[in-house]
Amino acid sequence: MDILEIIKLISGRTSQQEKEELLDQLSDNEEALAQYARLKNAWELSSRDSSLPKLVVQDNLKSVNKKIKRKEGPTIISIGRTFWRYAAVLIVALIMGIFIEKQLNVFVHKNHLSVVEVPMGQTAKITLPDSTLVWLNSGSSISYPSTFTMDERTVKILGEAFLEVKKNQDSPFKIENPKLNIKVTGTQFNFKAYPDEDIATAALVEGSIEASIPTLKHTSKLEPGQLITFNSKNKKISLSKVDTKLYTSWRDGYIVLKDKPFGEFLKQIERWYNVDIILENQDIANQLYGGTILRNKPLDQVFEILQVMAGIEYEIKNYPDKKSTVIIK
Amino acid sequence: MQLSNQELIYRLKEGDRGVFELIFNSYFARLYHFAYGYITDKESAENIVQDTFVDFWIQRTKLKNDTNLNAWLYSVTKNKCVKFIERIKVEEKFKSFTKSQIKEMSFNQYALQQLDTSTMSFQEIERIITSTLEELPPQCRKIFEMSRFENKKYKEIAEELEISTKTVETQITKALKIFRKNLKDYLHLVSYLFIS
Repeated sequence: MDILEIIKLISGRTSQQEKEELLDQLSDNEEALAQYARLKNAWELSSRDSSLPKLVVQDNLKSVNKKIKRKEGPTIISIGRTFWRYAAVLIVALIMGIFIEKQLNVFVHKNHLSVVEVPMGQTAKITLPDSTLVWLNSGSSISYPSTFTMDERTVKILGEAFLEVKKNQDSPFKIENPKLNIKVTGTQFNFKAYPDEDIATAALVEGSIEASIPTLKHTSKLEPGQLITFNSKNKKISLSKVDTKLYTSWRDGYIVLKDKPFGEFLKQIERWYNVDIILENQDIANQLYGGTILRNKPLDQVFEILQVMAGIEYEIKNYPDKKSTVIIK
Repeated sequence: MQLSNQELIYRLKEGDRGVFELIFNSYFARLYHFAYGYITDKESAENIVQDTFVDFWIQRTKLKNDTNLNAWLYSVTKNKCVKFIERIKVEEKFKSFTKSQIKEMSFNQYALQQLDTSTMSFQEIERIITSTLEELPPQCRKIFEMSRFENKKYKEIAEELEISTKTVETQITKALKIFRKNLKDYLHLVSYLFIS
């Protein structure tokens, strides 16, 4: 049996009869079998098939969860309660609304100013005229001129964005926002300043940036791995060393929380799902949590997991004419 | 962007189900295609990979901090495939498999036993595939891609490219030999038997 026949068996998509003949030849031929093994493995490893329909993957995850439940029995719940007691690992999953650009509201103003608004529940990736890349998180907007001038690149951002700014020493790139302004020449960083939140932050991944607080005439220079936090309520500014991944992972459809107040996490759910969350017991908002949030589950499943793992009670109210509301008791 | 291996394991041990689902979502499809290559039955292949992830969750606290997750998942899936084929050879309830299917799978079982998964990683294999494809002469690469990635039969490829099926055969053989050479770290167990 020669190597061509062995490869044909592995790759040839032969007829049934041909296949049976080749298999028979292989049966009592140790040397050919060894060749088959090695070529078969080379063939399988050279596969580039790394995808399946999302639905198939989700169905398989459901089956896995069922099997785990059967094996672990009720201990899952007791683990959850223990975690809750020791201030907790929180696990939630949300649906990835993969960068849908077509539903964005893009307005081009008379003075050639473009405005991109990302609705609640979606994220977007856009390219600016200077080829700077911008990822916008849910409920955020950016406005920018359709062409930048020679010596300045200024944009306005409300909300959260991750930016990969195209390097240009001669033309600084500026972000304007009522709470936090940024000036850079070329770098990667995450910017977060929503109008409805007191805290504004910028986390620098690469290069250097200059952050200033417009209301305080304050300016600081950031190094890679640093985070600047401005609390517009008590006017406090702080610089700290952080793992920047925690501030940029939302682009990939998940968020890693490390000792963050529960309230901050709920704000993210509100934006991703376009819902209002009402906390009946405000104390919960300040408790610290850690865990990973994925955007691949419907809202009711997210809270179902929270109920088991974190021990909260909730109620989801759907209305025909306005946003759904989740009440946490 | 990716969390480091150590960070993933740390979070898993803490019981972070989100991280578990993250790993599931990124590795399920690849492991499934791997298992399906040897098992030739979709449902059984899905089942095997599901069980791999069940074990992964149940045994997460026993993982070492420097465990190579890729290699772990590949190895467990491989072992489950080997055991599955062992069972269909002897158990009655798998009667739905034809004789030739069982024969093919038992050859595949032998192949799997030769496969070294202890250091395997998706990224590394992806890198080898990319560089190997670049190494191939253009026509050879085209033919291999049509066969391997577009699942075309030799005859279809020959007609499409207006060449003989004999040429298709020799070109695929050539390509696969180069893959075999570049993937040798994982295929080393039978190398001494090899005459080509």
